[in-house]
Amino acid sequence: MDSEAVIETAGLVVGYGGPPIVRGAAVTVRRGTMVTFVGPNGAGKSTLLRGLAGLSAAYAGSILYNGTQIAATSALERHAMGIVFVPQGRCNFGRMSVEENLEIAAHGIARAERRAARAYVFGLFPVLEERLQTMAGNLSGGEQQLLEMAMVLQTRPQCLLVDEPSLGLSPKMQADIFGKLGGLRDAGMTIIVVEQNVRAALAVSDDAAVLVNGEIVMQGPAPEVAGDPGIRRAYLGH
Amino acid sequence: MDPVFLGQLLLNGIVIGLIYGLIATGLTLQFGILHIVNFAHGEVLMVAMYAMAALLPLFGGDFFVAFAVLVVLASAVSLLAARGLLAALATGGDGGGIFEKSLLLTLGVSIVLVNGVQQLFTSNPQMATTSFGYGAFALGEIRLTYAHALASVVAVVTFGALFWFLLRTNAGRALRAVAQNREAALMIGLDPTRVARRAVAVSLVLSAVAGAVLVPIIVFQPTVGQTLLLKAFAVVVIGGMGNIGGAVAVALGLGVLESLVGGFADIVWQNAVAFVAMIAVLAMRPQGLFAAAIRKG
Amino acid sequence: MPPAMRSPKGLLLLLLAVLALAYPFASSSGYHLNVLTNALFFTVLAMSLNVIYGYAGLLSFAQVGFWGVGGYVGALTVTRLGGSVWDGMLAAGAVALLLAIAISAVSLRLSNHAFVIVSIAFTLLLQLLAQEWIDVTNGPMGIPGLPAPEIVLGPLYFAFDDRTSQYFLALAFAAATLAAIGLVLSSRVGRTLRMLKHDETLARSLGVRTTRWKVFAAGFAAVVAAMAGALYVFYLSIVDPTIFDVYYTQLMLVIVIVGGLGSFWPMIAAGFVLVVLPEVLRTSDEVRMIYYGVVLIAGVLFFPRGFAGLLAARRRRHSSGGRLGQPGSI
Repeated sequence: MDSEAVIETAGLVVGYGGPPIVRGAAVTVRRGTMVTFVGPNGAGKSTLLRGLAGLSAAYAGSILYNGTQIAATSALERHAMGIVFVPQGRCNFGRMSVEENLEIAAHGIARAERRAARAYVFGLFPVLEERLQTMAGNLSGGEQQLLEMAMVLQTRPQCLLVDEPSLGLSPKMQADIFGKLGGLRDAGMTIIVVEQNVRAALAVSDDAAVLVNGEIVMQGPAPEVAGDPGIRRAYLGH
Repeated sequence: MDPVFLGQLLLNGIVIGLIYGLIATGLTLQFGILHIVNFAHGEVLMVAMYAMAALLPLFGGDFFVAFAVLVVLASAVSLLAARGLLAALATGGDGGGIFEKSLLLTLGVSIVLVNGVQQLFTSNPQMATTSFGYGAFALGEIRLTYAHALASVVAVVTFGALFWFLLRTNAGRALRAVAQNREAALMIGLDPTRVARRAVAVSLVLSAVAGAVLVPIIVFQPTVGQTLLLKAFAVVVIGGMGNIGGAVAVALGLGVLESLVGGFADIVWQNAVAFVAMIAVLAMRPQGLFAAAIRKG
Repeated sequence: MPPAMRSPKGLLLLLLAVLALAYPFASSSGYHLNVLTNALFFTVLAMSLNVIYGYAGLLSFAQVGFWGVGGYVGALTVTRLGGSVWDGMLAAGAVALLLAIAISAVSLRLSNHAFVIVSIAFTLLLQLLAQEWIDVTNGPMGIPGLPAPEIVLGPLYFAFDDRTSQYFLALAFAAATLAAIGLVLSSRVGRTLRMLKHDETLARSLGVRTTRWKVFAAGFAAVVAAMAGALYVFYLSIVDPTIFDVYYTQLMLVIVIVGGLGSFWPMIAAGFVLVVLPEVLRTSDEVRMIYYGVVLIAGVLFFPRGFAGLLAARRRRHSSGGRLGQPGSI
């Protein structure tokens, strides 16, 4: 496996303007791997992910992206560099059709390449092609999650950040989503996920980082983290 | 009841309703996308009226040439003004949030504009003569002056262009996207500030267009924008704060209602209709008549 | 020593009171007295805005509306109903209270934003009614020849019919009103209102019925503005549609913002400075309005906490400086 780091943070302190929520995180994400952040509620997993996306402020520390310092860049600049973020909960344009949602999400793609981009996401999520004229707000929760991923994937990002992709979905749909994420990773995409359903997430992840109280307490290959007795007790229920 | 009188009232109501619509859609765009209220929105119209009155004699009273020049000027000024407003809204100040700040800043701008124009042109009522003077179409016994007809046509064409822009162009889609879900807009790499700037510029041009077509219709003073602002605010609230289609429909309804009240009751109540309707709607259906039917994304 | 003289603030207050009472005897200029009387009225008006905006956090453009309603109701009570000026003030307060409850209760059902927009529309409407409802308001001519306030207590009779006595009446009214507002705002009520402004969710979670408190603030502010407006038109001896002029709105906002939202003494100081200063500069009305407009914009952009904010920042700097100078003393 290629072990070159796509994202590498050191001493990263993140918050929303108030007191810091993530305090001094060091994370390394290798190219073409999937990493999951796990930890109790309020540990700062989502804040760290939003910090990587540029949506929460980095008070201190560094974020290297392909070796370049990006800690001071905006979310829009990071989007343009290929770091895209799918927030938790429903995040689409509910009063527009699926087609319009995809069209507007392709605003940065050259006109000649839009057809190919569309074909690419329909290949990944065929269900969307069937629902093209449905209002996004009327899709099921799982379909909306797929739509949001499809929206950002049209630009073929290098690095995909997803916050709680399984939130509110049926077990079957959850498995489906993780299957898709695993497939994207196998196709070479770098993926970082924050997930409550630790077991399902770790099953497809390469690596995992455990956050407690704004600090990373453990980091390593997913099977190793999943095998740790403390983690098993705390998050896997046995 | 005299059908000619009634028809005349309806026709007048539709014309004024269309003009309310031009002003109110701009306010609605600003509120829907930025959550700001522009106190100086009426002053944009007022300045456009004075500009139009100044332009008309330069082109021998030819309304169309003067109008074209005004729209070009207004677009340029609006782009600058939108840039300035957004920069000001982003400057300093932690208190109150963008909504309050927008009101206070634009109130300041409004007062500077009203008094500046008053200082330059006095508060005497102004009139402008245009090439088509006081001519009118006769629809049976109902009269429609060329000026009113022109205002209606311009308004309808402008709405058509606005809806085409919002529904069919990428820039328009981006506007609706930011209004519907700011976070989703960020997710797909849309720049909300740039989109908002465009929305403010478009809405200022709409107000300027309304001013231009009003020039041959009414006598005006530096305070002309304030009365119209009252109507436009009522339209925005009744239409469901942020709903463009709703604003146009409510504006038409209000224009007609006012015209009927003016025709059948004491003229005093004509101006009160907007306020009473607003309070009634707030009391019975606070989310407005045209609140979105589909749950929010 | 009386308690008022023990603190520097108390001493300053005492000095101000003496100055305010002695001034008319030291100066014979009616013009100066007029400026000071205006300053008293406008400071009370601005304080009413401070109650609803500075404390409760609801930006309201209806204050000038209530001020004007107070003026008209006061005038009509005297001219049409044959009441006294004091009856007029009470009627003004009562009508304003009802109107304030109606528009705030209805608009707050939707949102604070709706309240603000309705408050603007309310004032614009009243201005139109004042101009056009000629049967009642006499239109742009207004209602002139309003009588001077008078006191009749048995054989005792006094009319406030000259500049000096009217100045003292305004002074008494302003002192009483500001003291009453000061007492209310420094009580539990003021703390609750502040909580609404700073963290409405928190207030609600603590069981505060937030909408009811906002309606209370709107009503309280409206009563103060209306009573001030009523007394003011008897001072002018005329009420006409210019009582709703945006000039007053702007003046209020400039005073409240320059003084500092939710501040008390700095706001009162700002009231006097901002009313007296343009008189000293003797500018035309238009130019004065433009100045105020520019001050408003600059205040919002660069000094959103006003004079009170600057004072607080200075105090903070001083106290932290002291701490640094004495390590280990914390």
